[in-house]
Amino acid sequence: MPGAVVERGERVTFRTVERDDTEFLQRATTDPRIRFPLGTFRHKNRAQRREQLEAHAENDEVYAFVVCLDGEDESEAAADPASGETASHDATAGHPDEGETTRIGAVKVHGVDGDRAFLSYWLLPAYHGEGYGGEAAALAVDYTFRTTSVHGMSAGAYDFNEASRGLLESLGCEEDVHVRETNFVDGEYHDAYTYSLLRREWAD
Amino acid sequence: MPGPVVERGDRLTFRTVERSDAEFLQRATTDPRIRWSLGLTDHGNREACRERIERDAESDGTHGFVVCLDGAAESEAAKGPASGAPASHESPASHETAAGHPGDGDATPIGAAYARGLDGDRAWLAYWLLPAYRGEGYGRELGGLVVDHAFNTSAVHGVSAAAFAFNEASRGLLESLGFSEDCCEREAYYGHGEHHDMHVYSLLRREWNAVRAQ
Repeated sequence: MPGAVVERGERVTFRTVERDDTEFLQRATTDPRIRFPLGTFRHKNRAQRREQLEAHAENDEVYAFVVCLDGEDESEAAADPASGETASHDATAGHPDEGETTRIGAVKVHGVDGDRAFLSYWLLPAYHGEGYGGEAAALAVDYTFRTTSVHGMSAGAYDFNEASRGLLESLGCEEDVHVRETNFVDGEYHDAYTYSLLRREWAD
Repeated sequence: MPGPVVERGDRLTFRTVERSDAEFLQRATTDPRIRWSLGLTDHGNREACRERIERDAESDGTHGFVVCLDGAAESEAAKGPASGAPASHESPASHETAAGHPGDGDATPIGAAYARGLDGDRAWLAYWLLPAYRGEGYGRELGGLVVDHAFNTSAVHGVSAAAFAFNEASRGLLESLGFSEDCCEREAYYGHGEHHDMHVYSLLRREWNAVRAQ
């Protein structure tokens, strides 16, 4: 079960990555629809994924979140102050009960203690195509520029990942680098593109 | 309990090897109908099998899988919403849950498959099935899936596999997949009271592409 809410968008919430989330996050290393775009060529078992979780999500250089949709109960409690005390809102914004929130993906920002941060994200395939990716990425960019002094943010995408490349362009990212046939993914070599967005560009 | 699905065939799934699978995998080192054909002369206890998982299935160049038959429970869970997904957002999540992490009883482990050396130029394949599931074409499907996986997820030039002289099922399987016999190491292995020849087979990427194109 994901942890407390750190950041709230219109529809998605960013919650802390808890060790209990290992099994959910393992999906990004096994489902070919997720792991190929992420460049995770080797699947991981739960023990390996948990080690990765400790190395990344519990590291000072990294912001890591589980991206969630909060359930209707919660939205209503939050939207209608008359229906409940402030306590209900606080409770849901804090630690959710099972069923109050649905994990749909994850976002990571590496290098937040340096000059340049690196953004990555994934969503379960069932939640693609509904604008959640754009909302989550924008929320991560916003949060990173607001809470750190990084000068810019970068992100990468393979040639076949048109959804992600479109998303990065729609956020205002510029294509910096195109590396030809750099990784063997799903049966052939693919090109990788690196994008970036500077703080002043985001401010605009 | 095996982990989430990595590869899916017509009837079989390849799931991650979890440390909790040690007890199941131990069968390959104890059952004489499995261990001799794998050349496992030492039987191992559960702890030894768990260490082997950490050393082997979790090492970088190795892709290891528990081969499973997915039960009716799972197929139905994949269709309907009531699969134990969080109630708050029923529709697509339930399918994803079923496609990802099975509940107990959803998947029946029937064997294992390994591709080793995927970080190099040549991978080595190994596989086994519980005796109860032999003779139903699962081996053929398993072999095709593991070869596909090796060529799809790595840039290896070819894959190799070995079978002892007495293992006619495995030798027939490799030949039916399009493998060629490269060499025979005479009396290379002592097991079951005598020495046995070991036949080494290989399949190159271009040969596999040609087989698949047919």
